[in-house]
Amino acid sequence: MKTKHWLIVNSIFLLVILAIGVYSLNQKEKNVYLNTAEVFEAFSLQKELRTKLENVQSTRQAILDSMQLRLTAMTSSSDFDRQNPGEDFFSLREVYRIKQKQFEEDNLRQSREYDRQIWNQLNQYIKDYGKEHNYTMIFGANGQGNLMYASEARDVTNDLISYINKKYERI
Amino acid sequence: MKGYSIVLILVFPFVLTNCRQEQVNSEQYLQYLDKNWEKLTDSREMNGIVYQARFLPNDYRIIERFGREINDQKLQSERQNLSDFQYFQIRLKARTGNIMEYNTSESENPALRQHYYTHQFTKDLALIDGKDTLYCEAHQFVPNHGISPWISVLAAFKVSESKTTEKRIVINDHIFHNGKVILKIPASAISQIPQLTLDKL
Repeated sequence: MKTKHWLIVNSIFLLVILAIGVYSLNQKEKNVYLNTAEVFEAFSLQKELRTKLENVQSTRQAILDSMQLRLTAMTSSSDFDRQNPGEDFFSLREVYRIKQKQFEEDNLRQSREYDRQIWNQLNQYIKDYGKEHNYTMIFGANGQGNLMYASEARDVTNDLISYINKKYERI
Repeated sequence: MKGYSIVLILVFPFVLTNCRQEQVNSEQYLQYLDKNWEKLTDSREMNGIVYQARFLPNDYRIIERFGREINDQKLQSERQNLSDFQYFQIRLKARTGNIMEYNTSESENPALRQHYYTHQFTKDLALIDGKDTLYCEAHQFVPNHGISPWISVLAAFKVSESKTTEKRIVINDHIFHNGKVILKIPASAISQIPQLTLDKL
């Protein structure tokens, strides 16, 4: 009878130890990391905006190419006077220069705005992901030494990519 | 084969009654919507800005405008008037402070923001309805006058040819630099809206 009591007391004791163990494990800080470049590259919005930017840039380049072609055609024409190229040539060359500068600035501005939009969304989704998974910290590894070593088990890059794309597409 | 037919006979009336839209009077219709606005609404927060889209059934807009005592003739003619369009209420607010002043700079003052939402917001709104992408045909901006945290826009889109499908409102936000924000209203929430029938009054 006494042995039975001991068995029960021991089992309860073991269960309490086990519960404390599980509790402290859950309370432990959970830190993970992601590969920043990989997440950025795989983000659907980034792909969409890159395609959009490439299309706009190639249209702008086509406009410049066509002006360049007209300038070349003018200069290679047999009646082109190199000493006195004429008003048409000068005005076309000026328009070309202005357009080229304007397109360069627009491309840069647009590219910066898109980067801003992508990072704004990524930051929000990473925050949401961290909260949902109760992570204390999420580090961004970019291969430039801000994270020198972390176990691969702590790499959430692939899981995060699928999470952010679902969130973005509202799936 | 005989067993299969019996199952069909038993199941068919059940399917038929469940597929049919419930018919309700204006009072019941509004009660249903009051209880179910959440299903017809989607919202999400992005960097301190809350975006919200709500599907507004045409019958609701008619009752809202002409009152619960609207007669059947008026209801039918208004339905006809609105039948080419579907309407959404799109609302935005800042998590803290007045959205019209949120993160403003000299080049981006509240008056310019107000001008954008009043006159140019249409070009940054789209609706993905089934396989169709529809652009906003018209919108009406309701300013907050610094009182309500929300600014509200009533947006009209052409009715898609596809049957009742999931509706995805796309807001291309370059005011707060958040880019494309998608809000989703499930098809089931729209198909479950009961049918307003004034005969039941």
